[in-house]
Amino acid sequence: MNILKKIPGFIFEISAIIIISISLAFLYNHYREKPVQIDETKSIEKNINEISIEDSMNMFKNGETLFIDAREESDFNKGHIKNSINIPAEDANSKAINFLNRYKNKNTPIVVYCDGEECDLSLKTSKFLNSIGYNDVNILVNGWSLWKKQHPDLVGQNDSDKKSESATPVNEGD
Amino acid sequence: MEKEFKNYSVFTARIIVGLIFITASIFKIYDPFSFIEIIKNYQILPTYMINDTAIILPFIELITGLFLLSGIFVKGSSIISSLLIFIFLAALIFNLSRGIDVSCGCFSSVNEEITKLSSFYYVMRDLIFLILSISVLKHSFTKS
Repeated sequence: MNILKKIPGFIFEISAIIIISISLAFLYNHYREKPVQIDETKSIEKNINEISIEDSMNMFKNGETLFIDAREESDFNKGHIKNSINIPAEDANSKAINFLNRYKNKNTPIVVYCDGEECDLSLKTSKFLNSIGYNDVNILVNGWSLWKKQHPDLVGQNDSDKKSESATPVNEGD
Repeated sequence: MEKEFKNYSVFTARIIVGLIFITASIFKIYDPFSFIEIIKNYQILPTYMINDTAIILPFIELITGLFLLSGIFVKGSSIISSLLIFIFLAALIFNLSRGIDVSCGCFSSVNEEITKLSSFYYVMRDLIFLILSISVLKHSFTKS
């Protein structure tokens, strides 16, 4: 008790503020509808897989997978995988709330793609999806080029086929 | 008379700083994901610290603001408020010197369009907040 009396009052006050803040912060995050992942790096390493065009086709056929185009909207409108939705990598954050409301199941299998072997848009969008809690995120590298070459009958294009994160659910017809 | 004016000025400064911190915390608590992007834009913190900071920092602002408003733990809360404003100001100036235009992210979680004028405005504004906070800090220690 004597030691406690020697601690300056302001140290005690600072400690109290920090402890209360941290406790409330993690409590609130735990119970919020869309919690922030505490350790982003772990979830990125664990939950993003690169898949082949064949695997992506199998996932497409099962009807439960959400395909996400990470390119800009103008590229998406010119052509995209059928029934995919557009979440441009540079704009992912602004679409987060709508996306989370539409796809509440965090175990929804997701395939993210862009175009080109060196394209990193799909990785950016995948990391973002991981950070907001989606656990089964897959990347189809050079997805658009591979898909339109191998499955030209399963593409959508122009404004009439345009899907956004607020549009129809997974695998409804174009 | 002079003492009363001084007490009144410090009281006003304490209320202003308290309200600033509470206001600053609200949007960040509501939309932590946008705040995460703002922290990333600063390119100062390592990746593994970003999410934790986005979760904890708004609550430190909120609790600090509430204590300042209520007049409880004024010494501790004014130290924290001065420290936080100083850190934000330093980060802003550091990035400006690096040529990185960042949205301040001080009061909202929105990435605002950056201009040289807005950068100057943020720096001047934060300096004023810092002066107010330090005046509260100084008064809380000299009063006791």
